[in-house]
Amino acid sequence: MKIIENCWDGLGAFDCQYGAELLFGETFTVYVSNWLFVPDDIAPLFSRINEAGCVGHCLLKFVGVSRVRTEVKIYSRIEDEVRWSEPVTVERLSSGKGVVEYDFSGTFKGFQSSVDFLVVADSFELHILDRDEPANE
Amino acid sequence: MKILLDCWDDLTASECQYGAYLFNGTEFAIYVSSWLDARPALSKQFSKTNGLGFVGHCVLKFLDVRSVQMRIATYSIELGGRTKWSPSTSQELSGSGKGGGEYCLSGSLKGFFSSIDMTVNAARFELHVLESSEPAPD
Repeated sequence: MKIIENCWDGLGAFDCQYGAELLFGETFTVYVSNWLFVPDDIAPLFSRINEAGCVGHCLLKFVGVSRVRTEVKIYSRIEDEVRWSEPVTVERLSSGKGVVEYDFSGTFKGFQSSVDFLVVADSFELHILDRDEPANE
Repeated sequence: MKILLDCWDDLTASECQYGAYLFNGTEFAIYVSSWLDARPALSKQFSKTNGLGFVGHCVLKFLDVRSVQMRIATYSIELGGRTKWSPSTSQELSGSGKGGGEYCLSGSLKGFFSSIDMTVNAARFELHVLESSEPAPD
């Protein structure tokens, strides 16, 4: 695993496929399987790059978290019409002192979905996982 | 996508890799990327099978949910290879469904050095088997 600190401004996390997320104490972590935009100098560090040049298999980790808000909508396709559900919003507060707002969005992998995250935290770390880390598929 | 009803007894979800879950108050759905054990007749339906015969890329969906209990622990590997576990945290989601059946699931959260146990109290189960690029390619 490679850890890169304070690199948020170079990332484009608006179209990612997300997996599980954990809020443990003052730390919020979410898994990204793919569709993260990163600067050219960081991209070769990733074990997964798709045809569009987007990368994945990493964790977005936020430290000193005071607040996490998620808004999720799912859709179904009936013939050619896409129908969206009412959004489900979850608001969690934590004891961190962070004041920096991190906005990111995309979908939950495996679900016809749209998710928006707002995390208010102190600082950010990008954890890049090796291919079979922490376990193979 | 193939939807299979009432096939819980043909599955063993004890060491799966899980992804995100969705809960809207009555339905609980959780993504499985791999390591689900399915009976041979069922395992052929899946788009992903690993070297040990475990399958993946599906959603376990529970309907008419009364409660979901989750216990999650994470660990780190220290110098020398020793495993150090964090204290586990528990969470309960309370639903408005009538429940009735108890479904036990365990494994890990994909991407995390972790262990997760869940007990879902729900009336019904559906297995949603996803095609390889469904609903979107990686």
